Amino acid sequence: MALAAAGCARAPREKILPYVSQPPEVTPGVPSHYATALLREGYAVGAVVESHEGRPTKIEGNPDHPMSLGGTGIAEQAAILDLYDRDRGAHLTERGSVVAWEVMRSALSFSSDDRGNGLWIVLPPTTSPLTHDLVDRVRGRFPQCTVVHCSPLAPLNTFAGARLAFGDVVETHVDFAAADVVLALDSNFLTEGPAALRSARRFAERRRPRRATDSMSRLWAIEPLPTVTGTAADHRLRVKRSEIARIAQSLLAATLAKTRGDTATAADPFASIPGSQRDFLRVLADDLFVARGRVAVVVGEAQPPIVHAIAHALNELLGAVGNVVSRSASPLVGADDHGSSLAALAEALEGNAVTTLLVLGQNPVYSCAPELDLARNMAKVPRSLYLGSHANETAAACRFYVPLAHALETWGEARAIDGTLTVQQPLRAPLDAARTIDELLFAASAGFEETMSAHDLVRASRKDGWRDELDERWRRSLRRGVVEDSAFPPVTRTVDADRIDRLLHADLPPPEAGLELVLHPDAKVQDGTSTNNAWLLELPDPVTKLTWDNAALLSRATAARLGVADGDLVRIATSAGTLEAPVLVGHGVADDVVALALGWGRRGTESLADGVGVNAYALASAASPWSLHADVTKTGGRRALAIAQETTRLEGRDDAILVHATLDDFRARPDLVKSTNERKRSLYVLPNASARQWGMVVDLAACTGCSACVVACQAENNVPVVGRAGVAKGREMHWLRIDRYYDGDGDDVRALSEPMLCQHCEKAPCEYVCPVNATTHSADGMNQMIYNRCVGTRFCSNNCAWKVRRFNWFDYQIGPDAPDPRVHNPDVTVRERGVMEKCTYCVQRVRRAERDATLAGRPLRDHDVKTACEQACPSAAIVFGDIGDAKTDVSVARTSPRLFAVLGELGTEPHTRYLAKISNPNGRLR
Amino acid sequence: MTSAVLLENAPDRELTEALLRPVMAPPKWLGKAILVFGVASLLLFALVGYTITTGVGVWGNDIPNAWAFAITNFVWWIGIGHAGTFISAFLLLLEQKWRASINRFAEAMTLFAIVQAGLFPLLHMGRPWFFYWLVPYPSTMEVWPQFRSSLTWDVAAITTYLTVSLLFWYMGLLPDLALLRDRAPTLRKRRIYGVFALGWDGSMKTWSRYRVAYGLVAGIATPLVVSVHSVVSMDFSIAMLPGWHSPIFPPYFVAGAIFSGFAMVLTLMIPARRIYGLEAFITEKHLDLMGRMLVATSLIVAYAYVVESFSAWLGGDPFERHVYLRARPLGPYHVAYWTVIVCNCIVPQALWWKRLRTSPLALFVVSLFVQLGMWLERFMLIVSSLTHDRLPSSWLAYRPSVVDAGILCGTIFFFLFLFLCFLRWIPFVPISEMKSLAREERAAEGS
Repeated sequence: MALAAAGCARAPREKILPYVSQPPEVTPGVPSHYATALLREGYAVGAVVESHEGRPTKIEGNPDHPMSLGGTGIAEQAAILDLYDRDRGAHLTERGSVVAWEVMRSALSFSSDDRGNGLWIVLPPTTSPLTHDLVDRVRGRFPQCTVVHCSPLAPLNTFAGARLAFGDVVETHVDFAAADVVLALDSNFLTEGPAALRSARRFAERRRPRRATDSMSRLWAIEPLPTVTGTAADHRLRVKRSEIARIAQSLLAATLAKTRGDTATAADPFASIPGSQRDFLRVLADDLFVARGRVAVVVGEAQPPIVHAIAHALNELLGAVGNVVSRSASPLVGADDHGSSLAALAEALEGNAVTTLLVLGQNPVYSCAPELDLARNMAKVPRSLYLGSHANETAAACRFYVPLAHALETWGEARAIDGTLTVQQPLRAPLDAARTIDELLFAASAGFEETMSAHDLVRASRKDGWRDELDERWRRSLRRGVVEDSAFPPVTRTVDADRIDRLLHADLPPPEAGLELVLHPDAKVQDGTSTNNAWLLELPDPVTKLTWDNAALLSRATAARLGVADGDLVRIATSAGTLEAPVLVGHGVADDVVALALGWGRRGTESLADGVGVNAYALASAASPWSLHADVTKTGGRRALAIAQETTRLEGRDDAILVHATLDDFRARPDLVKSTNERKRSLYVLPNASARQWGMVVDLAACTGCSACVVACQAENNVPVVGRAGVAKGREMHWLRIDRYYDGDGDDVRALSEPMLCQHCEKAPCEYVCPVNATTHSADGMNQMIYNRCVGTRFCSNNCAWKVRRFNWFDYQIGPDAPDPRVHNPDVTVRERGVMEKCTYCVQRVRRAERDATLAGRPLRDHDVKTACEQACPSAAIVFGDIGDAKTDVSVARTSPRLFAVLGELGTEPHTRYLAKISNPNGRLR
Repeated sequence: MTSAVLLENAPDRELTEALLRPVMAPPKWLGKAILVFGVASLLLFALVGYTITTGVGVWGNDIPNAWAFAITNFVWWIGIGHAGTFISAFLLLLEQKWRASINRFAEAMTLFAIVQAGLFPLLHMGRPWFFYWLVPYPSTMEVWPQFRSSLTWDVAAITTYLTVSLLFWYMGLLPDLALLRDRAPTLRKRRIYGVFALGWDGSMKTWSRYRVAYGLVAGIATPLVVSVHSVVSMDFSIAMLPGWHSPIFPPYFVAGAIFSGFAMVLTLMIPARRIYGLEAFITEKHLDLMGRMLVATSLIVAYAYVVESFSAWLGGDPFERHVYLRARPLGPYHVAYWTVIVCNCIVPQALWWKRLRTSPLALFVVSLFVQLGMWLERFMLIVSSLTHDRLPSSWLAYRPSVVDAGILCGTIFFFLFLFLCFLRWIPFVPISEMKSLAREERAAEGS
């Protein structure tokens, strides 16, 4: 009875009225799209958000935005789920109990003669001109206040390196499409950082030869642990993080000798390098020199400033600047004065010199080095406020907690790394008490006496620049998602000969002699701000395929030496702290390195993130946040890890499953791909086939395995999450997964990634075994699931050679663990327990595009339909379209000599095809 | 030859008395045993309820192992059922007289095994409440089952098998039910048996029509011995999964079914024979002949194993070779594989010796080995193929859950419960057939 009553809610007692005149932008059933920006470390990444009757459901990249180019990463795709996170803070609280704004105002208000002595403000990195103005405004009102920009991933080393090389801070931009040879030193430029989406798109352009005669760029990676970039590299060297400085210096010496033409007389630049690495570096140095003018050297944030400076010098010496590498001013607020840090705050807290503390965003209590002991010290501050998305670790240490509005609830401003400005617009009103950072800063600047809405603040900020054109330019910039011509002009900086000389002879700290702990931002949850996101937690790590955990990554040799295997608990002790973590033996980790991802081991009110994984920040010190000496001992305990893919080898099935070759091989044998593409002769005629046939081609040469498509598919198609136990049992629901295989032996293996989704076979093996016709073929070439008809015999899955069918073992979308249903795409059925599901080629998008074309009275054009995975893919590795029409891009891709069908010999005529993976190693190595 | 089928050729009255004794004067412990297994069967119903209300996820299945315990159990139980039909119908048509004393026993076993087997196809479905969509009924939406799927054929095969087995068993019972009606001590029992006897009057006319009808049903039942398990085998062989996709499956499955069925008859019969002292009716000759059947079917099964692996090797398909030559003998389930070889191919060879063939204890032990082996064979066949499909990325070992194990045990309990009920209330040696056999023998001796 109770259930029935709850199920059939009665109409409200009050009279409600329908639209009399419908608002012009809302047509029920037709989604609208709004351009805005999401932030990566404060830098803008353009986004277009799909909204159904005022309910945002999907985030796509903004093709007009220079740092998106239409692509999105894992973080952008998953951000929509954060919006509907049930654990988000909803109320303004004082020590946990709900209070009114006025209570906080009177508690925090300043006397009129207060000069801000003892006022500290902690801000995340920001590029917003508005925030900049507001910080100035606060400083004007309270001259003695201190503003701290903090984020675990802030580009401190990068900026310090620029200062070392040029004397001031500039941003470096690399056009990877113009580079023939790229060297990545501990840099994961394909997925990390504010320019990663652009980098991935531009890099991929030079990685997909159409013919055997086409050229390709070559990527060299030197890194301590396998990253997406490293596994995409043609040559990869595993070294400790602390060895890279010496390597960079020797490369500088070698390059200098070559440019001066005195290679014969000069001392061997690689004399100080271990013999096993010398050949690699010699060939690398030659490769860089031969390709000079078309090379780029990029360095990751975890490297010390000197390595960044050496890279600047190398780019200069190799003629990259101007051709591949350009520079502009940094849009980051306070980029040039990173003097005040969390360490300074901790010191002030220790000395009881802080009377008012405003922490706006970030989660410093969680992510600070343990020696700062912010949790204890912040609790002493009499007047403290935390503005954050969740009542998390930092909120617990502060007196007041104010919920932070989600990026999709925010009016604001943000610049891309090249300076391009975006006015962020909200898709919906924030939760009751939620505020933006700008609103809080404004209130603080007014001593909490007055407030102003974020919208008014942004309007006012724009009015200063745009004046009379305000309305017109406002409309235009909101529509496009970028403010035209707002990118910063390029600046010229050179590393002078003196500086190069100093870099060349600089004394470097010796490499770590023992075990080195390497910390790195997690591929999924980054620094830990969005760990409470089920999609991210369940997403298999692009490289290790680990879900629902972080783990101490060890090379096989190191694991053997320590006597540990997958899932064994080890105690990791550094000078900063100690913790126990499970071991994961990874391919491609440097020997004597233990790598641990940041962002896990959260403690707080976030029900999903709480207690999942271990908090690697507890091992870091403020002075060396990225790598330290560590002692690792086996504890004897075990923790079973949920790894999404157990077998990592192709078992000699390369030609059937994942065709790969080097560019040289491809040139020698352009018919590399065997006969899997030929249509087998058949007695059967396909019934009801229409002229239009949907198909997809995935270019494995361009795919980096970054997994953005997996989350995009999950968001678009209401794919449920099964949890840690579900993954461990092999019950993941991802319609699209990334298979990752290793090629080679031991620790020096090459990773091969292959997106695996429904192949939409013309003669689908799943279809004929279904006893109830629940999976059938559409006239336009799609293998369809009729959920209503499915009884769940699972025979289709048994007979699918690609194992891409997913089964609802339980009711994943009902119950306390299920996501807020508002995140669901209303165009896609939410499946109940007991039915099979799988990739539909985003049939809802296909049908919508067909309807739109019909209504507009025009034929359907190529790219009118983009599947979610195709749209998200940063490297544009996926192309979807009509394979019945020879002129479409997908049909053109199907004429490539690299085309193959996975398991094509089965004769099922799959409509999803792949282009062989081609790598471009230098013939002199191996 | 015929003389050994009956050890004591007693007059009708004595025969009747002797064969009615299990029903009229059952052993004292039987009621308690029925109660124990009845209670234990509640485990099955509880777990079935749990599965249906919570989701089939409470089992250990995953992707790729979308089928595992349930389908193994299904094939195993349905295979066990085969001996009944084989003994009753096939041997009846072949006029093998020795079958008379064990046929009802075997038929009951068949029936109860089908009941267990039928549970699994329903239960393993994600939405079992829509099971009837597999049945071709005139739906108002004009949606039919998909006749290319072997699961649709399965529905037909199993329902046919259940119907015919029930009919055949019940028809065979009619004269004995009438006998019980006439002999039952209380009015209530007489009435109950009377209802089930369907007004049998024992007249010549009834008997002659009965004989014709019984022969006809036997004729209908006989092809089922071959067809049912052939269809069941097509649940696998129409798939293109390496390890399933094999044309040898129908004969191989039928042989395996008869193999396991005879083993189950022996498992149940040997204790019953001892307890009820029926050595006179179920003689050494029966044991001997059934032992020979075991050896024969064991050899067929062993031959199928060899041919399967050989043709995988000969075919040269790397995926097939992997499953047959690596995944099964060396993979995660290699213990199951080698146990199958030992139980099904090696242990039954002991029955080449007549001494063992006629020893109830030896036969009983061998029969247990065979049942274990045949269960594991189906498990290995289903799971080791699924765990090692073509893409190594999807390889995943299967681990059954407690519920899986509980349901398997539950069906065994329920099967034994039904069987004990059968022993308690129905004469398990067909009295009328034994009497006519005795008369035939007397006539043969007299002449």
